[in-house]
Amino acid sequence: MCLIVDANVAARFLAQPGAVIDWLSRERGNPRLVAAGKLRKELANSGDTVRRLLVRLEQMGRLRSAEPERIRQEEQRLRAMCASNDPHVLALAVISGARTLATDDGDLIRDFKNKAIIDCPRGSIYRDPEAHGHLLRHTFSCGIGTRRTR
Amino acid sequence: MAVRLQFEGIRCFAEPQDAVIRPITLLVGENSSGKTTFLALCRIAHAIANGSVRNPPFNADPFWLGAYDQIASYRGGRNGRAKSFSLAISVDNGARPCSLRADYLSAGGQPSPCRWRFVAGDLGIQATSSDGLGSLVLERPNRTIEVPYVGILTFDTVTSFPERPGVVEEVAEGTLGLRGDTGLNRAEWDSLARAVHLVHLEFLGYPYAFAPIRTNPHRTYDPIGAEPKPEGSHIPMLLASLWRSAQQTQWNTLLSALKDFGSKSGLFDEIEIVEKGKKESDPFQVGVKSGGRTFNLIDVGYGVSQALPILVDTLRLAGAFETFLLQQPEVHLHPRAQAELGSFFARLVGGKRRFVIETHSDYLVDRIRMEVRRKLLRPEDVSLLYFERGKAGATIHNLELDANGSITNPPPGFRQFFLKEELDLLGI
Repeated sequence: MCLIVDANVAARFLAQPGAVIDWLSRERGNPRLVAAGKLRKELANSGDTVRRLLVRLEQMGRLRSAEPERIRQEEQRLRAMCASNDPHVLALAVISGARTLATDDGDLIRDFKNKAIIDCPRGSIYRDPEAHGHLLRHTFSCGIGTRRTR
Repeated sequence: MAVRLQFEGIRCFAEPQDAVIRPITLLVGENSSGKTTFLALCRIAHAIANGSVRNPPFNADPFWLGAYDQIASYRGGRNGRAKSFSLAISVDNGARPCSLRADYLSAGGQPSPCRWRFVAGDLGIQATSSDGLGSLVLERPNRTIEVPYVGILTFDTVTSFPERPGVVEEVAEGTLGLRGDTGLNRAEWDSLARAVHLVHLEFLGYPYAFAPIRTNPHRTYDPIGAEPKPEGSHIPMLLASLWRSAQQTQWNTLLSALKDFGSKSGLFDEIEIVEKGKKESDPFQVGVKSGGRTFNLIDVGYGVSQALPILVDTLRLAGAFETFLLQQPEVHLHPRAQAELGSFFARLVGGKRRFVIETHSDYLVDRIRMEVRRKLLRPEDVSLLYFERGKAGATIHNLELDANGSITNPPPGFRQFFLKEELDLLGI
């Protein structure tokens, strides 16, 4: 499964112990952090801890990228539809197929839940490690992982 | 062109393995996971493809696999030691896959070939020997024919098939003594011969293997022979010969490439020969220019003398078909120089040149991945082989890169140690 972490929560989710770190570092399964283009730069500038984690995940094959030009094109297409100032995050979700987003940005959450922007499947928002931990189960997303079983 | 090495029952590889060989093949994994064995098998594969099925180099510097009991896998318990082991090379040019496989069993404690089989599409030729008696099986769709044959057929007889179409059948009859109905028509014989030629071309020549530790530097060298050695003891004399040569083209070309690597890696500015007399038989020293001054090779960082044999030999021998087998080229190098080695190898890729590199350097591997992202290399130029140790022996995982140089298919547990260590260090 793929997860996108917005830069505004990177310090909370990627630089402190918690469900996201546990999920990303588990041996089994196929966890992927999706970060490319502008978001990757923003995350890399979120501090040494996040930057080092990104490097390790990249070396492990757990940091998923996307073609910067494709993100730019998608970003331009989505710009007029977005309420938030993060069309690059939404473009990354559309291109990669990642449907779980960690953020606490209200406008971005509204955009991510907007069926006209993110659909098939709809997006899920990850805000609270305690209440939303189930979102990090190994579900089928962006072509990686296994289908959810109950 | 897809080139693969497949083997089974060899040392820690009890189970069948299938590894992709590309212009740059990186071998990564923990100690004792079979990386050096794989390098040795690459060299043996070249020998087999060139006809030496009977006596490939199981034991030659710098790879010593031992006698049969050391080479054949030992599983323990009732399984004991493998009764035979096999090595195959497979080449697919998109038109028709072909492969050559050799099987060995123990004879007098040494590995001895009991069978080889060459397959090209739906045609095949197989030779077996047992107690000095040989047989030859010709395979074509829906028909298998055993041709009477006395003696042991060696694959070099097959590789000696002329490339010229139309004469192979006559050679088969004349050289191999195949008479009567072989089951294969002339076109099929020609087709087999072309496939043999394809395998032969892909594995042309003898790979150049470097030792894991290169020779110690000396303050002064006597001008003696420059016969290539895996540990690079010939390099000072080779440099001196080029330096003294009337034709300076070779020296200037080599020096230019060395200076380029030296400046990018921060290792040195220039390499020069300091003659200690006027005659060619007089001793000489290897000088390393750095920061405007020239130092003796023995007085600069050990990394210079360790890297120099790899730099010089790969530059000098980088002919179109050369295969280089390298063990930890990064030893004693600062991470900056380790990373630059990755770019150095990437720049040398071309033609049918191959580098098979056993490494523990993240910097080297990462730089090669970056060169994929920068489009100096294509993803299909790089094979990243992850050697994993398990209870049932070692396993090779073929990791693929995408256009960004990112790994697309990491196996479970890949580099888990590094992440755990990093998270522990960061306290998260």
